[in-house]
This record gives sequence, C-alpha cells and structure tokens, in this order.
Amino acid sequence: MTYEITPENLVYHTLIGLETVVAESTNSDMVGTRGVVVDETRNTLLITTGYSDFSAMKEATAAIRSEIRNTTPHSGEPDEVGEHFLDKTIPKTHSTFIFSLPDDRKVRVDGDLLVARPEDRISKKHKN
Amino acid sequence: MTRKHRKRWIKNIAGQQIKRLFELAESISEARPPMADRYVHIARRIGMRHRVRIPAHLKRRMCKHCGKYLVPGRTCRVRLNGTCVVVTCLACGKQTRYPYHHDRNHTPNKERE
Repeated sequence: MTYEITPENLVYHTLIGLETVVAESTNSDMVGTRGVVVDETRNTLLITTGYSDFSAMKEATAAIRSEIRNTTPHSGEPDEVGEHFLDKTIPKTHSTFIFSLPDDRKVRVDGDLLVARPEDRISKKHKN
Repeated sequence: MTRKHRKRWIKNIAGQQIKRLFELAESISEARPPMADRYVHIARRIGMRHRVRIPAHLKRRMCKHCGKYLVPGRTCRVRLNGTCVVVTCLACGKQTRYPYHHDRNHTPNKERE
C-alpha cells in the first residue's frame, strides 16, 4: 500500500517534506515564513525557506556546490552545501501552520496539536 | 474505533511513515546527508515504538551499526565474496553481511576441495 497523507491523518503523519506557511504566531517575525519542513523535534519544526519541496532543493545543490568550488577550491563537500540553506526553527506552540499536502490540498493546523515527538504523535489522542 | 482497530490503524500509519521517511532520505541525501541520517533515525524510532518492522529492502539502505543512510557508491561499498553480500559503511567502517546461500551443501569452499 502506498502512503497517503490526508487532512484527517496529517496530525499523526510525517510532517517532514511538506511545504508549510506560518499563518499565525505570537511572534510576528515568524508569520509568513514559507518553506519545506526538513526536521522536527518535540517542540519545533525546522523549515528551510525558499524551497517548496525536496526536488527543488536537490536541483539547487549542484549550483551551490559549483559556487563553493569557485570561491574555495578543493571543497564542495555535501556537509558544506548544507550550510548554504537558510533554516528557521519555528516553535510549534503559539503558531498556526498551513501545510500543503502532496495532492495540493491545504490544511490549517494549530501548532499546539503537533507538540509531541514524531514517534509519539501517532498514538496521541485528540478531543474533537 | 475499538482498541483492536485503533492498534491496527496506528501500525498502518507507522508503516507509511517509515516508507515515507526513507523516500525523503533518498531525495535529500545528495544535498544534506546529515538530514538523511536523521530521517533514518526517526524511522527506526517509529518502528521501535510501535513495533513495526522496517521492510527488508529499506533495512539494507541503513547501517545497522551507526544508523547512517547508505547510498551504494557514495556512503557504502557493496561487494560479493561468493557467500555473502558485504556492505561496508564508509562512515564507521563496519561491515554487514547478507548471506545468499542458495544450496547450503554447495558452498564455493566445498567445491574447491
């Protein structure tokens, strides 16, 4: 069976790889942050801004690598490429996210529902 | 949802997540290898927490010793020695052997004698 992320199970599913926008936050600087989720901890999402999905990131890699090679020869290792992406850490609490599903549907999620480690989030129960 | 149904549903989602995390690891491994390793780590944690096995073909894409995501030719070396597929992780240097005895009475060593 193939995986399927639906608006109903999004809260329990992997958030990594989805495009997201911070719709509301108590910190006004974070509102409007748009990018792809690359990592997740219990309380935060790590968002790489400027990319809508991983394939766009992959395409950008070659350009970044050649740029590094031009400025500093004998480098361009993958680890150094990673530092050229602009990452932002957004706390899950006090924020509202709009996730774009792979089938282009958009879901608005209160960040408070997402507070849990990725492996614990599946079995979390919600009242609604 | 009864308890039984809920359990089954959780395992189903967990299995989907493991698959998805490995796909994501594949697509990001070129740009940011540390992230790919992180996804393998999360996939393992999900598998352990919900007692879902990591599918055999995906298990070969990670190092059993250090948990790195393995890409043949870039982060691991794959060799055949007549009895096993030997996968060497280039990060930790440890080897994992996957035996492929088709007929246990006909190992190459015996044929030589």
